[in-house]
This record gives sequence, structure tokens and C-alpha cells, in this order.
Amino acid sequence: MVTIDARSGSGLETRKILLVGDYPPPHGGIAVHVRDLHCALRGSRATVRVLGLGGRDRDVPGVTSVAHSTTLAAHLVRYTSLGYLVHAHISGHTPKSWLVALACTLFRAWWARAPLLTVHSGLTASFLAVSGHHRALARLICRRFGLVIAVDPHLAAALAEVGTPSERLFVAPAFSPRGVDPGDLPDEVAELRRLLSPLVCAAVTERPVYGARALLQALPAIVRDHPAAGAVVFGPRTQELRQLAQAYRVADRVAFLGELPRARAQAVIGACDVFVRPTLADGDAVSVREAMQLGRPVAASAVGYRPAGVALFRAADPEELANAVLQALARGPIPAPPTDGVARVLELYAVRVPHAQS
Amino acid sequence: MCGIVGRVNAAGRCVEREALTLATRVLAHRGPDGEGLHVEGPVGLGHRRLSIVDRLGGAQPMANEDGSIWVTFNGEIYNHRLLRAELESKGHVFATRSDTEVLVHGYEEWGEEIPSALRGMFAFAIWDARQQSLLLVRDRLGIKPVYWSRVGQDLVFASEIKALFAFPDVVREHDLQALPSFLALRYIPGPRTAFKGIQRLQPGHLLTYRDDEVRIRPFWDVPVRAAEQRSTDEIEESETLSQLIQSAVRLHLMGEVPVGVFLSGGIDSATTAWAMRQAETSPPTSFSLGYEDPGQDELPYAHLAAEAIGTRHRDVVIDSQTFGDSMEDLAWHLDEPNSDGACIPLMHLARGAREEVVVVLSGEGADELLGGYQIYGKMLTIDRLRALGGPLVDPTLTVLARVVPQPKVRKYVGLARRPLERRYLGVSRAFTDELIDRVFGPGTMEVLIEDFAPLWDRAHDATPLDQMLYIDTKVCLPDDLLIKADKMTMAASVELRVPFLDHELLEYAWTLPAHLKRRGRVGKRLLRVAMAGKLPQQILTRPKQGFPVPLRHWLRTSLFSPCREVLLAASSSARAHIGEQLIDQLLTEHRSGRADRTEELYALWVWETWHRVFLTDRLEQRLEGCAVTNPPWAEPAAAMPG
Repeated sequence: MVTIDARSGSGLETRKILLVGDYPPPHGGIAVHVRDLHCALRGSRATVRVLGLGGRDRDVPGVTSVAHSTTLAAHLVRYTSLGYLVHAHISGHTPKSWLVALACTLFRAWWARAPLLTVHSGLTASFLAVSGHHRALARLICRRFGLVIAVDPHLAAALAEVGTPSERLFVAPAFSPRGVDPGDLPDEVAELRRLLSPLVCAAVTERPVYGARALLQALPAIVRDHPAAGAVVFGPRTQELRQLAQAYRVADRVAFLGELPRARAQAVIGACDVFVRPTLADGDAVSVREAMQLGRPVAASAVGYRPAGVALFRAADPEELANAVLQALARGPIPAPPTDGVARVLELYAVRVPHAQS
Repeated sequence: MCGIVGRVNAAGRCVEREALTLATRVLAHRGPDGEGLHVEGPVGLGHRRLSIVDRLGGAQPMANEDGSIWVTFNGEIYNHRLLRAELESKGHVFATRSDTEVLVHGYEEWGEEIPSALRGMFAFAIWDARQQSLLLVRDRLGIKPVYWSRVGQDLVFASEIKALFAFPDVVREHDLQALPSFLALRYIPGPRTAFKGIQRLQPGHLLTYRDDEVRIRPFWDVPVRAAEQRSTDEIEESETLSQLIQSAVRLHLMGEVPVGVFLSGGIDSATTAWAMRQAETSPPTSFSLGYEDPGQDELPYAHLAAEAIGTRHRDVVIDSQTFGDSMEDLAWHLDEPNSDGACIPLMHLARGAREEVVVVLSGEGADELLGGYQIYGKMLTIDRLRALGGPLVDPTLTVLARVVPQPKVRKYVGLARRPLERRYLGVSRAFTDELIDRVFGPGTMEVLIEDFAPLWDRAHDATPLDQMLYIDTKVCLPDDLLIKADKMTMAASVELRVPFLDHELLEYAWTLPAHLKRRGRVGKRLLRVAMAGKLPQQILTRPKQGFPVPLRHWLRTSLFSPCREVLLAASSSARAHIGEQLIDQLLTEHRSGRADRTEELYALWVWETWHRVFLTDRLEQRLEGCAVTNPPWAEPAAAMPG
């Protein structure tokens, strides 16, 4: 693995960048990172285009929504012929995501620079463990990229284990403080602030991997120490969670805000006393880093990669979750680590590794 | 884990302490560490204790501060510390660290809604002196058993049926209506038992007794309609499953006594052992069962798993002689006939484990959660063939059923002629449909199939796989597997815990689509993905094995004579009801190797032995034996916190 001195990255060697990945936010860490990177590149001298996967049409300058593989291939042919350096962003825990990565390597002219790949998902190691086919696929594809970026050290280790050459493997978190810009606080939360204290905050959906059950079950134990404690949760599809809150007898202490734009979500995080990340599987969660950047204490499940200073608990364990929240509250805010994944990626655009397979 | 018993008399008549004491002592094997009684006018509660949580302070029956609420409880409440915190925040004051006390204060706070707050395995009774009412509850999946009966207007209940017979007015009468079910399925589906007038409280149900009236209602059911309702990502779900299993196993390690694990060498028990290893700093002790006859057991796989996971491992080995000698013990401890061949080996495995541990975890339930049984694949294949064949299917199968000579093939051809809801009666079978109708008359199987109809209706909208899982989770699991698991381990005073049956894990599993449970011939697909890289590949890729017992071989050799002697004895009830000719035919066919009659012969042997133990004067002798037991802790040990 090559370590880049952050001070040595000076400017972009390549002027034209094509970002391929989920877009737009607020859905998921990949989209947030691609958006931050897009903004950062637009602010530099580079020309940047985004192929937003998932086909959600949004009117964002420089962004093209791609819903089908043929459209993706056509755009890749066009942009590579125009000299764009392709930077693919994939989850890495589905065969489909690796096939997208493979597609990003197919249309490069022999003289052009090898593309870059960022692998985001904390589940990638599990995907690679499932079968030799998965590992072979990942190895084959990673070797076709000039640089492979993992968003946390665990993920980098998993990619190294399948045979990604160490000289092309780098770590750059998906988080950038430049993406933290809280908007207006929803009125509902301002009101809750007066009624409930401490106020616990979490970003969840009803998908079990988000671990919302444990959070709701833990709330009564937090209430024993803090009789006015409550929670605000935001995220899409929370109808079942409302029913669960009833079942766990905490419905009167939990506010469900639904899906929020990123800036408002950050405002909510910033207004709460503690941020909780109860996920059962994770990578280096952007929301955890956002909360730390906003000066909030954080309690998070001990899965994936968590920055130093986070109060950890074992996933799906409500009792430990409650204790971690109490511990985080007692400890108070921890200084956010000086992490800027976008700056790191901009540096990496300047790194040339010549021996990628074409 | 413990044994509970109780009686509430109508019209204010006092409960006889002597009978209650005997009933409690009949359950001594369930709780060798202590005994407690509470007798107050028309109510009597008994308790035998196996001390695991708060060993010094958790004596039962347990009361609230003013003695108006009394609890006798069998099981474990794994979320008791969270509930305690919640109840303390509402002003309740606890006097012990026991999970039982959560029931006392929880009932004060939530009344009859208390079962919904509990996470665990439980059967308990709460006497509310102010309301003059009794609440009897059984856990969601039926991990802990509880039986009840009316004696006139009175109510009696107990963890095991035999304890009820300590009350002289409880009648012992064989319910012959249950016999076809037993011979067809190897067990008797609840709420019916082998005794007239005695019922199992169904899983996820509560019974209230007030003003001489019994009212029963469910408080939970398998969330069958939740299947296939959300989009899923296999790796995300496998990681979720892995974490939920680890969380469930951690909860199931609760207690102040050594905990071991039954390790068969299959993926379920290996996963349980692996999760224990993740949760604990010291290696758990694992136990496996083997046989003197070489090559008949799974010990090589168990050893492989033990070494890979890093457990301290021990084998318990039995032979056919031990098996045959245990038949009466089996009947006594089971209370009812159950001809699952794994019962006796399990009892001996538990006895071996008891030398080192008090609590054991097992992988029971994973097949019902995640579609592990091979029969699901067979049934789904039949469904696909029926769909492919269109209108030609039925006539073709009718002809085939007449001309095919091999009984096994004919059986499947016969099954294929019916739709799934008339073909699938659960994972375990003994007598074929043909044989049942031959013994009990035409149409008997139809009646049996109709008994399952309400369950098929409830699962009507589910996928075929989920329909079968629902049937097994509602019937076969509680009435066969879990009864066996509870009673065979309790016979050795060992508490068995089944983390795969944590209801939160089960509710999660019911949100998964069928393709994550079975893919092709491979069951428990998601579990195999979740454990990839954590367990040896040989364990992950093994096809599903049942608990192997070399009964087919033994019934042809060393156990042929003991079985024949019992079945053809002059006093044999089996001979009276089934007929000497048929029994002789089954014995001859099996011994000669012309047909495999293991299931039929073993079912009859179990039934006949049960009949001898419970429906002759042998029962009185056994009860008398319990009465003379006078252990040093026999003084009433009722506890009143606060």
C-alpha cells in the first residue's frame, strides 16, 4: 500500500474527470461522497461530469442519470474518447456493483490513464468471503484499475487479501467536512428540544440492518437515568418503526421525521445531545463523522470502521446501546478527527501507477 | 429452568397441601436445587428450582410487596434487565436480581399484557389475590411446556402431565382419538394430549381463570404475511442475520452457571458454538453424541467443528442396549408418546453434559426459520412438476400409483396427486397415509388433514415454502421438537436454550424472501452465506442431516427381540388396537429387509411403553417414589421481596 503525504498533493494533473456512481444524495454514503467530490472538482480547474447510477432524474448541471447498462456503456465510450479520467464508485458487496466497475475499465484508449475505483461498502469483506468466484471477480477487476481506493482500513485489508496490488491501493474516507453545512432546524425538533432532554438522534430506515429495534428497546433504560429523554429519527420508510415504538411502549418519546434533505438532517443532528448509529453492518459511516464534525457525542455499534472517540456497543444489543449512550453523554463531544476524504482523492488524481491491465 | 405446578379451587375450597407437595416433587428432576410452595385458601402454587439467575435470591413462588400477587415461573426472561430499568423508571422497587421479579412488577404495571414485553422462553402462572384470578402463560414458540385441566370447576396446571396425577381427582384416561395423529406424525399435535381432558396450553397463548371460567387467547403469532414484502440484498441480510444470531446467543448466555453447547457437526449447532466463542473469552464446552457402532454418527464433523471453533469438546457414546433399556425412562419423562428416535440419545447426551454444565445451547429451530429441511425441496419440486404437467398430471399419477411396485416411490406418487395443503403435514411422519386408513378405517387421514386446515388458511397468501415453514413452526416445532428438547434435557436437570428461536430473530427471518432461505436443493442459504469464512467449508456445504440414530439397524438386530416382546405381549395395548397380524407383518418385513419399517415399529414400541408406564399401576409406584423424596431443602421456600 502506498501512503501519500497529504501536503504533497498539489493540483490536478488530469483536467477532465468522469465520476460514476450513485447520485444524488441523501441516499447513502456513495451518493454523498460523489456529490462532495463533484462540488470540490467544480471548484477547481477540472472539468467534471457525473454519471449518476440509479436513474433518478434531478436537474443538476454536469450530472447525467443512467438507468440502463447500454446507456452506461454509451456514455463511457463517449467520455473516454473525449479524454476523461474515469473514477468509479461502487459498493463492492454485490456482483452488479463489480460489473459496473468492470464496465468502467472497458473503453479506455491504450494510451489513456487507467481509471480509479473507490469501494465504499463495509459489507465488501463479507461478499468476498462468500465464494472463490467473488474473490476472483474482485481480483480481476481491481487489477484493471490504476488506483483502488478503500474508504476504511478494514476494507483496504480485504481488497489486499484478494490480490489488489499494494502499490495501487489507498485509503481515503468518504467523508469531507466541506459537506457539512447544516440548514434550518425543523420546527418540530425545536419544540422537542424544549420537551425532551437529552435528545437522542439517529438516521434509520425500517431495513433491519439499520438496527432501529435496538435503539427503541434501549430508550426505557436511558429514561431510568434521564427521565425526560427522547429520540428523533429520520430516514425513509419508517411506518413499521412507528408500530415497533408502540410495541416497546416508547411511542410518546420518539419523533419520526421521515426523509430529510441532507442539510436539514445535519441541522437535526447538530441540535441533538447525542447521535446514535445502531447499524448491524457498516463501513466508515458518513453520518457518524458528520455528527462528530458538528460537535455531537456519538455512540455507535462496533461494526465496520468507527473513528476514535465513538462510544461503542455490540450490534443489536439494546442494553449495551443504552450504556454507550449514557457514556457518550457523560463524556461529551470528542474533537472530530482531521479527515477530509475529498482532499485525499484530489491528491490521488495526481498519482500515476503505470501497470494497470487493459 | 424449573418445574411449576398449581391448582385453583372453585367456590373457595382450600387446596390440599399434601397433594400439591407431591405434585411439586414429581417435578424434582426439573429443579433439583430447591422447592417452594404457596398455599393460601383456594390457591396453591408449587415450584421446583434449577438455580441459574440470582442463585441466592430468586426462590419461588415469589410475591410482590403486599403479597397480593404470586408468581411461579419456569424459563428465562432474557431482557429482564431492560424491563427492570423500565419498571424502575415507573417507580417499582426490586428486592432481588432475579428475572422472576420482573414478572411480579411487570404484571402490576401491564396486567395481562405482560407476555408481549417478554423476550425469552417461559411458562408461568400469576395469582392475583385482589382479582381472585390466575393467569397462565406459555412463550411464543412453545419452548417451555405447560399443561392444564379442569377438575370439576377447579383448574390444575403443571410443567409436566405426570405432576397433575398427584392430585387424586385428576382422571387418567387414554384419549384414543389422539392415536391416529400420533401414529401418522410421531407426536400428538396440541392442544390435544394423549390423556382425555388434559390440554397443552398452545404457544403464544395465555389462559385466565376467573369466576370458575377459563378464557384462552393468543398474544402472538408468527408474522406469516410479512414474507416477501421488502427488497433485500443477500450480503446485507447475511451480515444482519449474523449479528442477530450473535446477539441472540449472547442473551442466551445469561446466568451464573457454566454454559455448554450441543455440537452435532451441522451448520446450526456450529453457528451457535461459533457465536458463543465470539461472545466469551474462555472456550465453551461442546458435547456430541456418538454410537458404539462405527460410522453411524456425526462425530467426525463435530470434531472438525469443535477444532475450528476452539471449543473444549466431549463425546458421549451410547449403544443399542442403553437405548433399549431407556424406553421406560423415555415414556416417564415425555409424559406422552413421541417416537422421534433422537429422544433417547438426547437424554443421554444431556446426562453427560450435566457432569460439567447446567445450561446448554443448541441449534434447534434454525431449519424452521430458514428452510433447512430436505422435505421442503421435495415438496417444491412436486409443485413445479404439477405446474408443468398441467391437466395431464392427475390422470398420469393415478395410473402410476397403481403400477409402481416400490412402496417409497408409490408414496411420493400418491403425495404428488394432492395439492400442497393436503400433502404436507409437517416434517415428521411415521405410518403412511395408506397404513393409517387401513388400521383406523378409510377417511381417517382426511380428518387429520382437516385439523391442519385453519393453519393453511392463515398462511394462504404466503409462498409455498413459507406455508410449510408456518405449519412446522406452529405444530411440529412446539409439539414434537421442543417438547422433546425440553423434557429430555430436563430429565437430566439440564436447561436447554435455543437461541435460533429468539422471537426477534424469528420475526426477522419471516421478512426474508424464499430465495434467501432455499436455493435449489440447498436449504438455509442465508445462514451458509453468513457463516462463510467463519466455519469450515465441509460444515457449510454438508447437506441437512437429521439427528442420526441407527434405529433401522438396531431394530433388525439387537433391539428386534425387546421390541417384539413388548408389542406382542399378552397385555399389549398395541396388539389390541392395531392387531397382531399387522404388527407381525411389520416385524417380519423389517427384519427380513423387505421393507424399512423403523418408523412404524418404533412408534408402536414407544406407544406401548408409554401405555404401560402411565395407564397401569406402575404410575402409582413411580408417584410414591417421588413422595418419599425428602431432600434437605424441602422446607417451604416462598419468597416475598421487599
